[in-house]
Amino acid sequence: MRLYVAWVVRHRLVVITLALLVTVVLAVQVKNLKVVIDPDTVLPQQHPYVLATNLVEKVFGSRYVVAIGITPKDGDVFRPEVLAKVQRVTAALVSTPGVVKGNVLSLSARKAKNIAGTADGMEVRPLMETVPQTPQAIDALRRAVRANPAYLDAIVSKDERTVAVIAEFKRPEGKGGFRAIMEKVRPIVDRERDDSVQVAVSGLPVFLDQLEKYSQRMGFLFPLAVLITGLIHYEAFRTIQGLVLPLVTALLAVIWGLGVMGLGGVPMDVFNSTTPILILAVAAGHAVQILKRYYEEYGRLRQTTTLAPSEANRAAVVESVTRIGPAMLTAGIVAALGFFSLIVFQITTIRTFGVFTGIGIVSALILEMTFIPALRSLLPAPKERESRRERERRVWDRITETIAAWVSGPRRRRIYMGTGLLLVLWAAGATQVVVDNSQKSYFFSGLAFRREDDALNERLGGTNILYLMIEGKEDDAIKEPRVLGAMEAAQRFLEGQPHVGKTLSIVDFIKRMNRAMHGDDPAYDRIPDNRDLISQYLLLYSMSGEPGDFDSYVDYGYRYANVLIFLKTSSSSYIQGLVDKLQAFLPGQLGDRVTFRIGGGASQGMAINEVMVHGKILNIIQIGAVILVITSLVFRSLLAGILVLVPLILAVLANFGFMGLTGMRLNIATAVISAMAVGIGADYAIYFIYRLREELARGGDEVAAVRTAYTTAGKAILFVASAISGGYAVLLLSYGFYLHMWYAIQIATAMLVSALGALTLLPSLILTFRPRFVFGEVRQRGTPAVEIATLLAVTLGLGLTFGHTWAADPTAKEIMEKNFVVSKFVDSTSDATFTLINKTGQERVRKTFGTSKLQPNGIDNRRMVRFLSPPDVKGTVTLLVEHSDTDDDIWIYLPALKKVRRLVASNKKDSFVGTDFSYGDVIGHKVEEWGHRLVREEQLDGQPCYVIESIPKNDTVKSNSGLSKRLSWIRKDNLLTIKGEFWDQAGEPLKTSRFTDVRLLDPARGRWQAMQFEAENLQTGHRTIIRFENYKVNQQVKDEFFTTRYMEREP
Amino acid sequence: MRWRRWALLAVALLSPALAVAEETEPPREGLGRLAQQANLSGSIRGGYWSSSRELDDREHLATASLWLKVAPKLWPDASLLIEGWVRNEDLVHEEATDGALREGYVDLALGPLDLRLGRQIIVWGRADRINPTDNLSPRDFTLLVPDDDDQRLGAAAVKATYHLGGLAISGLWLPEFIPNTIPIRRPLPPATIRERMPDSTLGQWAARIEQTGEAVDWSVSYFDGFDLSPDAGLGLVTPSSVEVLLRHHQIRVIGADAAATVGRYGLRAEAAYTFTEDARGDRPDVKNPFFFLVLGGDRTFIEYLNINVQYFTRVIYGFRSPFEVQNALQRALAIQQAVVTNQLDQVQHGISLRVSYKWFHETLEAELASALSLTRLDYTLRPKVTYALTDRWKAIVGADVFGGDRVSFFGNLRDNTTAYAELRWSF
Repeated sequence: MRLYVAWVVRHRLVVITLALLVTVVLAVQVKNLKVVIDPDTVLPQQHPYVLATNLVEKVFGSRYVVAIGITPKDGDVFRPEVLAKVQRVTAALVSTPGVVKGNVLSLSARKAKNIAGTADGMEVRPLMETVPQTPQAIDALRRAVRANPAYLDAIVSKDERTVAVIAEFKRPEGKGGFRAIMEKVRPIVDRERDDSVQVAVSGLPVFLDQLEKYSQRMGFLFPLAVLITGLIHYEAFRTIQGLVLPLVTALLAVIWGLGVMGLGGVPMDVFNSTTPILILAVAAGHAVQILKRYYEEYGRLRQTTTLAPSEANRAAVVESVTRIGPAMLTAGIVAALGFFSLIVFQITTIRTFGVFTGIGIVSALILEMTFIPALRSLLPAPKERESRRERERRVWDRITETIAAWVSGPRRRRIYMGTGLLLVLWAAGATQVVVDNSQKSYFFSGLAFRREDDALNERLGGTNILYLMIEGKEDDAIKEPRVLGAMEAAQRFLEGQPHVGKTLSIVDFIKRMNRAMHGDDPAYDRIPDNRDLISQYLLLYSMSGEPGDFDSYVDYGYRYANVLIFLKTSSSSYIQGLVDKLQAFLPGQLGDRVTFRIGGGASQGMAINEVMVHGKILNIIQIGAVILVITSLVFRSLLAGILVLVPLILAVLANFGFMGLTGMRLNIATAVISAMAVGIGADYAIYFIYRLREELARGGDEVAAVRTAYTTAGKAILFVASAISGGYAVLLLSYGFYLHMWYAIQIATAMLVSALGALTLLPSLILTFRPRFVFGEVRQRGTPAVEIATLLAVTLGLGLTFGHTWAADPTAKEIMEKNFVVSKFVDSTSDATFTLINKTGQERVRKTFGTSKLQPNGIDNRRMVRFLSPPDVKGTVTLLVEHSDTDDDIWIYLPALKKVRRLVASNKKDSFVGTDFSYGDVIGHKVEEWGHRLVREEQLDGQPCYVIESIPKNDTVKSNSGLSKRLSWIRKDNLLTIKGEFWDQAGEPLKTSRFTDVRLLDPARGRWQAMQFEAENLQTGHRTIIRFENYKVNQQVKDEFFTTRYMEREP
Repeated sequence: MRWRRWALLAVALLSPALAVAEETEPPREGLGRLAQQANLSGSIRGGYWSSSRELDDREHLATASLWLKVAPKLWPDASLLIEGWVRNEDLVHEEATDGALREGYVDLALGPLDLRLGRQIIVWGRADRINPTDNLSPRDFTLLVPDDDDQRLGAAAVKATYHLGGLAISGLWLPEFIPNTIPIRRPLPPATIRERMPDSTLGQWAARIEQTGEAVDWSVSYFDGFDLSPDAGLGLVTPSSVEVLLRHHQIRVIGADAAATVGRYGLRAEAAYTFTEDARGDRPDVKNPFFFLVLGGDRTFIEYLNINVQYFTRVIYGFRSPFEVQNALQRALAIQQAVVTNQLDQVQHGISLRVSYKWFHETLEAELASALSLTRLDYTLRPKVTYALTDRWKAIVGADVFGGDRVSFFGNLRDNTTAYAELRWSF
């Protein structure tokens, strides 16, 4: 370590230039960072509720419902001026891009029909084709609405005081997110606001839009956090360098983190907008530890040696980094690994958080080991006044000295007692934690949009929609009277529950039809017993209704039905209770012919809750385990690992206890805090243990050693905890936005508890149990270089496996881009057996030895294939040099010919050495030449897959590839294609391919390869199986393989 | 030697039957393992030819041959290759069984230097089948094999190649001289024919600089040695006999070639200027100096349809028409010599066309190779169909058709027009 730091100091200009160069390069990459706004990033995509919601969205339209309520100040809604507003809003929404036109519901919407009985049978007419002007017409409308109870509390309130327009939006695509939706809705609504009416808008998009807006406050909160952190550092060091240097590290670490994210194509989401503050705080924390040590060493050198200030400066840099580097690397890598381990989380935003923070911490470590020592050695030595001010005794010293006295004296028992009391208190609090994930709860209740939401929930059925989807085994299953009866029973059951304002399904319309067909006799306000009759009613309806009228309630084949449940609350814990009841109630009603699923915007919170409770425990255990293993390894003691965990356990318990005691809900936002606390908290314990060991190893008085550890590392821990708490405290300024405020409070709590835990309980335990890793033979080598190297390797390995971590659902093109490179190895060698089977089953077998090497552009390969059998082609060697921008170069050596011959590049559609694979299949179809669309997601071979349709962008591509369409099944976890279907230029099915026995061959780069390829030509019945053996990658394959010299040689 | 003939026939007929069992279970022990270590491969071939290739009016020939090749790796940077055949070209009649060691050399890789020592086949030229620079290794043009490349034979040589990036610089010493075996009509008695070998061939050498792997593959070469194809002249003439003497004169060939692909087209060019011992052209029994150029290209259509078209020209320097030789005997011989050496006209133009296609996943392949001299309108048409019955069994049928005036290069070979069929089992 010393040699290394001395080298850095000696070559400081080079190091600084390189670091700045990297910073510039990465800063440029920041512009490639994609910020996505998609609530799916917070959703566990494999959860049944989420899957059901996606299915409902697919079958019935969208999940994003915006409700617009209009309430006249006086009287009821049946007045021309109010109805005119409804008509204008409806018309405007129908013509707004992004709105699911057929699903807009209001008095004037086309799908809102008056079902009435006539002498001839049934008449279906729009409720309100034009705005009624005469009292008679208005009365007729009023009667029609009353006669069709399906609309009550949905588009007209029961008291007829509020009328609503309900619009469904498609999932927003591209930039703009929900803000784009709301920017379209708001002018339409605002036009109708005047003194005569109250207009209220609500629905999930409203909240998501606000979430985006409030998250952007980070634009000014982040600089403020930087300032506050800097000021706390200044207070701690009382020097300008103390203010500036940690911030430089921190800011560069944030830039590097963002740059690497941009470079790696890992998208950022709005839910991670507070993460830069975390990186800032952690990076500054490490910088403070080193700077603190630097001042200490500088002072010591100046007092004990005759070194000149500039020499002492450089020596102090070397000394401080040498001494504290191992501790910093250990602490930093432990934290980074903890964060990287979050990639196992099901929720994308949490994975992104883990990756981003991990990269940020690794960046900070690199900077602290390169740029900062180089810069520090270049800066002038601290002036005497500066050094003196840094050494002045202040409040920090008094705190640490007091704690040191407690820990090393008889008062240690008090520490145990105090901790015990707090533990009981926190444990009691933790049992009270409520998991609740209502996005509305992120905002103050007094905000205008929340008030409007409350108003709408009060007046109408509710703005939170839950879907109960009934799924039959075959078409027309829904027409069964028993199924419809069960749906009605469910509706009545639900309407009897609190907070359920309304339910709506096809049942309501069928009942209305039955009654209308019986002269409006209330006795017939029920589901007919006869399935044929139901079918006839639907047929009658279809004669005067419109095909899309029931799109929100049943699918075209009457296999699926959707019961819309309007809820007045978005509380996920309440909804969970309701769903539990429903799940107990429904099976008995539905019988075995249909099944049901629950989904919808309101259910998403439940999905998050379920995953979070499970994931939370897993997450904490996981980070804890990583820390335990690594610190045990570094200190060569399991006890060390356990001791390091102590402050973290305290912090986590404090966190949960605090939440339980204050009634703060455990939700997606607060869930991450424990992970942060655990990740950062380990630093404190590690720094302290390192310093205590170092002091004890000097062989002096034990009490003095403890005291020194406190006044040095202990003081730095206090600085860091204060700076992080201070940095996050600025989030308290985010008025109206609980999300930010929770962060501020909980991070501060976690930092305080883990810092105090590291300064009180941890040293107490060490002094009580006197473990060997602290008191025993302290290894003189000091720098656990091997362990650190191992840690770095682990980090690198882990860090690079997040290649396919997405913050949002990736686009089809992004998937294909990753897919294109996922089997591109730096180099490879393999034996392959090609088995060609014709439709009569006759086989041909070719064996080859092949090697490939990626060219410097990272896309094109050089491939050499030597045929080993059958005998007549044995010794034939082909060399293919791919050129993505032009035709490939191909050479062939035929043993009979005795010379290498240059060949014309094959077309992409040509067969690859006589197999059913084309050159295009083997080399890869250029992503940008095809239009890609995510068709669906499904399981294949037990693997969740994206199914991507690719269509050639133009006739040239079509002709060159010989394909008009291909479908690729791409594994979600590694983005490798495991199945393909191909259509020829005439649009006829051409072939299918399967790729099995998938193996991770290059974990560092996340590169995968299937060991078996199979293709079948559907037109000829010919099949090909390619089996790879001895597939090895990163073999440092020599360039010589790709020369004609090698081709001519006998193997 | 009758037993050898029948033994060969028995081998040709029985081995495939024995080999069927081997196909399903490859040998791993004993001899099998030895064969594997020796990297042994080869084929057994049985064929029928409607005519010989020796302009000797022999017809309906049954052939059988055994081709063997061993290529063991001696140590990492050294390997050995021995290849040869034993064949009988007329099992039915009294034809002797013959054998040939085609190649037998050691390859040594010494860093950037490759050394190949021993009998070896050296093939030069990037044009398609018509190669002006290919003058180093002999061919037996009379051998009854469907693949032209199987007619090649090696001669003892030392080849040293130094690799410098994509550049290969070769120097060759060719102490052994084996001439081409060309179809020559046997003169009727009392005339006799005799071939005289050069006295000393130790001075033969060649050099070549070659570039491959870049946008254009090219080479420049020089050869100083003896002409593989003989010149015919009068030998001993007595009142009762005339001896036609075939002699190999010294030539020096300076040549160059290049190949590149431009889009979907492959372009090839090859040219050589041959200095002969008759610089002034006044010796009818020695070839005149000549320039030989081939230019062409190929393109593959609809996946497997490959069409290769080339233009070639030969320009003879110091040209004197053989028809103008005064002495009748010498004139007859000079014309024959000009026909065989393709020096009938001062300037000759021609085109070659080769079309090939593959079906059934490259198991069935058909090819039609042809060449037409525009000067005398003589031509050759060589259709061939190859079908891989299994991975080891292959059936080949084809024909060589020659046409044109008898006093022309291809017309002279009209009697060699043949149809053939061959069944081959490879191991």
